[in-house]
Amino acid sequence: MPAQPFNQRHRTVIEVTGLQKKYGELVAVDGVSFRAEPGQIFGLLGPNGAGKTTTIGCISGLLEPTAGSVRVLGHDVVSDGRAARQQLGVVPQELALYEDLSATENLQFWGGAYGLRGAELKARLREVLTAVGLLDRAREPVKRFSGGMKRRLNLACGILHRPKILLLDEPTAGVDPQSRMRLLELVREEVARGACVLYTTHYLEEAESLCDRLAIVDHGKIIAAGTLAELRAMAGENDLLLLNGRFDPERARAALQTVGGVEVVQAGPDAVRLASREATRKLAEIFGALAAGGADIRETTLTQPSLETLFIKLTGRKLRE
Amino acid sequence: MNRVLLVTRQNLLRCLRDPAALVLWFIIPLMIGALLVLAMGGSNGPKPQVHLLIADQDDSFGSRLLIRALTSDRAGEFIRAEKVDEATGRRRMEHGDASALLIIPPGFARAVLREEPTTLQLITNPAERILPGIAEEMLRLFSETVFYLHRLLGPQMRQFAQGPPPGEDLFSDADVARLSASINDTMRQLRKYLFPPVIKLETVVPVAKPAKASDGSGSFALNFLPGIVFMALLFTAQGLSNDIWREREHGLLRRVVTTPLDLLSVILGKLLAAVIVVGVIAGVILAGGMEYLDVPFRRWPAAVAWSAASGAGILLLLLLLQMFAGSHRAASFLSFSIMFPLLMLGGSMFPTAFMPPWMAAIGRWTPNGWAAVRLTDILTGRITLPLLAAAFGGMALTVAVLVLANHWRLARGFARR
Repeated sequence: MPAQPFNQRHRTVIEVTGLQKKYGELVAVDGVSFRAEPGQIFGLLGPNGAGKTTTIGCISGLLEPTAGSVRVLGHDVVSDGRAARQQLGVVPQELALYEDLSATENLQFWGGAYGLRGAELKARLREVLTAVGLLDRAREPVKRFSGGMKRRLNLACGILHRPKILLLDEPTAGVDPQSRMRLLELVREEVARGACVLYTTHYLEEAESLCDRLAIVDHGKIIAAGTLAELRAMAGENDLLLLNGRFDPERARAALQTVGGVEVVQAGPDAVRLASREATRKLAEIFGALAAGGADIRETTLTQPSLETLFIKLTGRKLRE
Repeated sequence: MNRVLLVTRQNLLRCLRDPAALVLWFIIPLMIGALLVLAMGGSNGPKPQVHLLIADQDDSFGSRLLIRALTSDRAGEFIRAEKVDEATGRRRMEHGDASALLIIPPGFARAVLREEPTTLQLITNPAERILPGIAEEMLRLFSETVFYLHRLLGPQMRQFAQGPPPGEDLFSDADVARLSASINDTMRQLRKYLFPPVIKLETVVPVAKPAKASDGSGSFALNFLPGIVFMALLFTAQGLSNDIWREREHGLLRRVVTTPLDLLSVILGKLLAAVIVVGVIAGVILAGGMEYLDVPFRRWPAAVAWSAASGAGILLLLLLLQMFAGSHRAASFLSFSIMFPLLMLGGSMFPTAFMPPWMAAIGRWTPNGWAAVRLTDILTGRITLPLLAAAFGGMALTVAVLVLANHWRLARGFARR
């Protein structure tokens, strides 16, 4: 199928349709579909093992989809892979850097892989090294860098050639808060120049502060998608209350039915999760009902409405469990 | 091409960042080689001698003549003879004390003069291959000499062997005169063939270069030089090929797959870098070795080119093997467990020319052994231009096949995991 011009596809730069990736019997990605546009940060939010990295792998050409299709600026990543990859900047989760080479030499190699040469490469090297704050350390071997510096260089290698689409797979994993802030600034700068960013993370606050659109992924499927406002609306106005202790799940459920406006999300022998509007005002009533049902409450956690509460509401568990 | 050069540059830079490995790839083979060459007397040290035990049971003028022939000035250069009795000789051979034991049977001289069958027994040391062969060859020469003497002076020799007429202690003057005249007469008939000889053997020894081994067969060091070169190449190829696992473990190969850089360029770039590295290493070792052994330097370019091409082939072979291993550790174990037998059999620990025939036959068909034999031929000038071209053609074909196999393995999964 011939590649369609970018403007004929409604400014869609990434188009994922019915993407599936199987490893034998294991379905890592199961029918994922979404679109992303230029100047937009599209977040894939989900716990470890949800299928985010596999999705990124299929889009970047690293993995061949079992079913479905991925188009990058109109180029199919399987049948027109090189043209598709030319438009991408990929920042993998791991620090894919030549540790015995300097920052400059790493950037020269990865820039060269995208066809940057000569004066253009030299100019971009300086710009990018300045942007990531490594200009003064440019000639040092990467093995002497701190984790945060390596993360910034990892990102620099992905943005050197000014890609139209940037795939960032948990780019802030394991970095200090200062480096994280700098990395997020750099991502916003890329978006400001018109790039589309596909961003995977399991940090909710990062997703909330950064992403224009989000897809929540679990067990290889998108379980919710939309803008942040849309997703918050899905979460509702309810607070989420987590009670740890000893419970008889059936008696607890029955006891809580007597408290008005309380929804039991999950009930188990060690924990009970409730959703309720203005839950703080109903704490005494809830505790009383549960005590009458034979419960022994040891710990209480109240969570305001957020993506976390939405995730819990959708899956019955926390994002990082 | 730019992409290949990009990968080549990156690989060369990384080699330069690890000078310790580079030095080891040079030093270890040179150290092992130097130790072995010194242990074997080097190229200019004392020549190995046949230690020949002789049990002379005849103890006659004829047997002593044979012993003298074997220990004359010319032959003595190769043979150190020691007279023993048979029992002692056999016992010492069992202990491997000598290269060979020659037993001259009783009545040997009489049988030789009468042209009657007689047997010289030569017991050789199985632990030595070349030195007993020298003794055997000299005895074969002796028996042929006796045969031709009989063809020329048979009647006179038989008459001499019969001894004086019955009842006489000595030959009479008349008998001596008749024998002498007869011998003289035969020599006169042969004069036109012998003086001067019909076949003139001219030996040309290049001035001031007595040690130059034009065929290499006599010099341990020259036979061993290709082995040292290939030891360095194997170490280098092992080190370079193992790098693919480091790249995989750091996610570098996966990152490469996501760029427009194709994996064939990665293989070719690595190959070109390896050719340069092994070319430099082989070039330096060969230059030093050729200077030490006085081998003409006009053979250096072909020797270096062949070494570099062979090194590339070995790298690709080890690379392919490593990519079939399940882990980095398994890959290292696999490559080392293949590399050391290759070093042993391929003539890097000991020249194939000095190995037992069965081992040399296997060694010559190992990849490095096969290539080392060609290198020896290049160094000794034994190889013709068409044969050299054919060898390079065969190597190019092998390299091409291995490039495709490596690309297949890399693209089919190794780079994507």
